[in-house]
Amino acid sequence: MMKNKYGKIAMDGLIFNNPTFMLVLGTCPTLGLISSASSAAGMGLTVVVILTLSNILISAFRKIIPNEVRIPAYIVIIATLVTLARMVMQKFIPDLYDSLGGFLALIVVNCIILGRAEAFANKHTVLESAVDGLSTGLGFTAALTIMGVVCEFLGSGSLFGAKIMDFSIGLFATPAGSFIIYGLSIALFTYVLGTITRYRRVKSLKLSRENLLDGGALAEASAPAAPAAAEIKEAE
Amino acid sequence: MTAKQFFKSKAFKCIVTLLAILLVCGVMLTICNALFFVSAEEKLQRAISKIYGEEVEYNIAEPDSSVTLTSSRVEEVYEITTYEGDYLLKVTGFEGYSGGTVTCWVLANVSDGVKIKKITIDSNVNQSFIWKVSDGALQTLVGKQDAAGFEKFDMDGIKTGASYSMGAISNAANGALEYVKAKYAAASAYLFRGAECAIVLQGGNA
Repeated sequence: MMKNKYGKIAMDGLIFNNPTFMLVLGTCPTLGLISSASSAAGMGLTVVVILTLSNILISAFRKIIPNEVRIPAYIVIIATLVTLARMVMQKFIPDLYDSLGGFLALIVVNCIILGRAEAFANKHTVLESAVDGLSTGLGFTAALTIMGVVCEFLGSGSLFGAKIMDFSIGLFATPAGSFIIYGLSIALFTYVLGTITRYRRVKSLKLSRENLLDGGALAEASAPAAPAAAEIKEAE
Repeated sequence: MTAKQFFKSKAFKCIVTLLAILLVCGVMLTICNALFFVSAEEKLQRAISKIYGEEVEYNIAEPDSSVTLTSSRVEEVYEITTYEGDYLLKVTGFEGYSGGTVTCWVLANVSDGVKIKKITIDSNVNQSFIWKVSDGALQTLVGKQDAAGFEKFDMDGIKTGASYSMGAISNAANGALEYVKAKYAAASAYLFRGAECAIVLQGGNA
């Protein structure tokens, strides 16, 4: 039961409520950074850390923070975490810090982080919020990295900075190209998810119909027995 | 509302909670800022290891404000003693994207005319797409000898996707070349001429 609950939260964050493909949140860094796979992955991993920590802190303080000032309180907590992340990255990962540029500071106003704080963390326990933050962040990272790989391959003919081919389409190295890839990815993801959901529904319907038929056969099998019993009774 | 009622009210609780959160966050950030502060010395060491891949010896030189540069500003100058004729300059190029700047480390050499040996990006202001400036684009500036030899946005056909940032970088490179030419090239030429004279004199004596 407990495992099921956390599994469901994790699957929601990763797939069924994927922040990029299903909720279409965090569009600004998505369009700005997916023309490079390494930048996209770096941004995603930074969001994982900040989202998990902010969910944990907001969930831990949810009973202390008055409802009227919850949004400013959340913003202060998130801004502090983002500033901390910037300091740590500037000190230990300067290359990634430089590559993310202004988008790193913009994580403060990322709708995914504030959205999860408001929709999930302030209503659930610390552990559940941590799982939600981690899975939602990983869902965001996976989406950004996949699109980053496609955009970089088409736009620059390289993968994670390594040159693969000389041919490239310049459009895909720009946010306009990223927008096209983003739209196509959403369409593909929704189609695949819809197909899987339909398949599972059909399977469960088939199963329930078979169960019904089995029940009907049993009923039919037991039906002649009833008159026989009546006959016995009449004979008595 | 009496003072007692105010202290028991929800408004007071809200103010106290927000102030407490602000205080805790402020203290934490202050401590972390002290812990993770990247000093100018550390930045210089990072630039040197990026450029040379090894530790080198250098002398610090004061930037000369009498050398006038229009689109850039020389922040720091180091004379590399390990490699003769090498000068490492930290230069800020203006007129970047959205009026911002790009600060670069430019390694110039004066042994065979003034030319750029290497250039790396240190920091930037308001350059959202600076990550698009690849090493390949920076390589187009290496080996250039004449500040007029490369103009803004003309990067040997390389399209970065960050034209304004690249413009600020080329301004920084131009500034470094102009500065080194004005400050060190003349002295260097004089030094080499002096050396030639010494050789001639030595030959004469022999």
